[in-house]
Amino acid sequence: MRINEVEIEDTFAEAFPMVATRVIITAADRFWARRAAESMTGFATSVIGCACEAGIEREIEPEQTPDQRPGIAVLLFSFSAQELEKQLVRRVGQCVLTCPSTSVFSGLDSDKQISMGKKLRYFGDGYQISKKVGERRYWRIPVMDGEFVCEQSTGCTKAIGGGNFLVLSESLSGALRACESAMQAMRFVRSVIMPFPGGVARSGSKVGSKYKGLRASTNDAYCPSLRSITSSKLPPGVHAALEVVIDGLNQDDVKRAMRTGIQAACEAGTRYGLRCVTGGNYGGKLGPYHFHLREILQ
Amino acid sequence: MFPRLQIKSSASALHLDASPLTLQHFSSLPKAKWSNIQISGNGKSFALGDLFNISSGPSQTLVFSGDLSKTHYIGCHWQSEELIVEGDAGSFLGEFMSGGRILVKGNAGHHVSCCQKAGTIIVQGNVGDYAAGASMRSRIGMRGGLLIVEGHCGKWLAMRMRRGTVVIHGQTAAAVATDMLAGTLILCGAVEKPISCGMRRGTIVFSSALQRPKEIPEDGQLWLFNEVLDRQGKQISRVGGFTSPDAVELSMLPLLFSEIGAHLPDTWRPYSSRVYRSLGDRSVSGYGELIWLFPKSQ
Repeated sequence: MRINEVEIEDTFAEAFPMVATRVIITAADRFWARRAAESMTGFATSVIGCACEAGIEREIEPEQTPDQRPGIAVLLFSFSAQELEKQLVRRVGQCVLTCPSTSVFSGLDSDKQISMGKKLRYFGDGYQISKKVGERRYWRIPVMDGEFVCEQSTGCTKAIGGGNFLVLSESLSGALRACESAMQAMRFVRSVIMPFPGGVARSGSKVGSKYKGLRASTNDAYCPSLRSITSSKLPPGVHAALEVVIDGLNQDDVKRAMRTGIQAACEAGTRYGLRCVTGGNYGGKLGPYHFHLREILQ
Repeated sequence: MFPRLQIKSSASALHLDASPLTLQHFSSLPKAKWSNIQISGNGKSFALGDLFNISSGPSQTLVFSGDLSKTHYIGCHWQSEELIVEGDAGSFLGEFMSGGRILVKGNAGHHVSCCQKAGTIIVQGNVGDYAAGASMRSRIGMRGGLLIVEGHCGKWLAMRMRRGTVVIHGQTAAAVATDMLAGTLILCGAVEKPISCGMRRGTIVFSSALQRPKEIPEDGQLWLFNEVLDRQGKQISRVGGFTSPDAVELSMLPLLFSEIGAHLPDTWRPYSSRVYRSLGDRSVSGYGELIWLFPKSQ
């Protein structure tokens, strides 16, 4: 299969189960909402080293947020609901509570809930006020610019982490341009985040290592510098590979993001020296979700 | 199909207990037996058919019509669906209500919404004393749901109220929020003093700048009041106090109004995000808040 002369390899990308939540951060204006969201989603690229993966999903217009102020939707993923709650409380407490004019609300309706304001309220030192509006409970914590409003809890759902595709190009600059095009298009896909810097990872990993205790190590099959000494999967003429990693709330979201991203990357085709798009296939060792590239693109 | 109950003129002079007249009760009986439902009045027991003309009403709606100003406990323990009173209703309307909607097209007596747990009550006329308060059957007043009064409200509104929201379009008589525990009152018309004696927590929003009492000091001193009403309505002396109003930005207000936006009076005007707030009653270490809204242009 080829798109714009770019080979789509007949393989699948492996992904694994996670749990996720969505929160909506609002602020006096978009600038401050984005500052809080960027801070909250910092150091959240890989669940292995950061305990969670997080990213900005989209901007929300004031008419669609609970308090009619500009908002940002943030998605957080982790391996368990307990760890997700721990990371959420820590990140909202350190990055949103501290950011001027912000409030934070649940962005996901679900029977399964994890605490947010329920734990953060103690910062109010007894001056916090609970307010129930409809069926939702909010905590109002007095702060130096007025009050920080935080919803009691947020929904938690099963999700998918590690959806991916690899872009193989003749040069690093070509691979970068292709990934940038992909990211530009994927920004508009709902319910997914690309947690790595700019949405792209250059340190793709394989499962396991020669060193005891290391769960992942460099994916030598795609390292151009090791082509001559490993069983390389890089086709001749390819000198750079980059990986776009996708976390989504369900399989359809991940598929939609992969399709959008791959098509955008291939649009420029060979102009960027793009040779091939493949998937992170670990022989079934990584996870139960297999996204077959050619099926997705049909 | 549920009944339409029109009270007979001979029965409107009786003080009736309408608490057995629920949708659950009607639906558990064949239509032919509706007229045998026993209700008490003036210490005696009557068959429903002796007091009301029973006809078929709209589906999932119980309709009362006629002069029901002495028919008490209408909608008591109401759980779901709709109840409409086409005329005046007696006291204890919606006591212990836990869901659904009650609409009164006339006035309602005392103790409206007392101990209400959830659901919505709309009274298009006036209500008597002790609305949203405690009743003889519970020390705690309204504990959830919504009460909208489009006319005026009597004394002792929200006494020992714990949760829920009350909106009064017209004037509110004295002793509002006495010993209030929590919850929200939106008072759109003039409010008679004294107010909020013994208030622990909760929110009272005064929507017009004209209501801000002139004698409130500007110098950061406690705003003291020492004239409160006893249960018989006589003025007695008790020292209470609220902090003098501070200008604050409250992020919570848009959320509060999102719940009741459709129920605000036609005279409602957009308010400035900067409001004035007093806290009290400090004589009982309360953190209840009195909030004065100002029109946006001011």
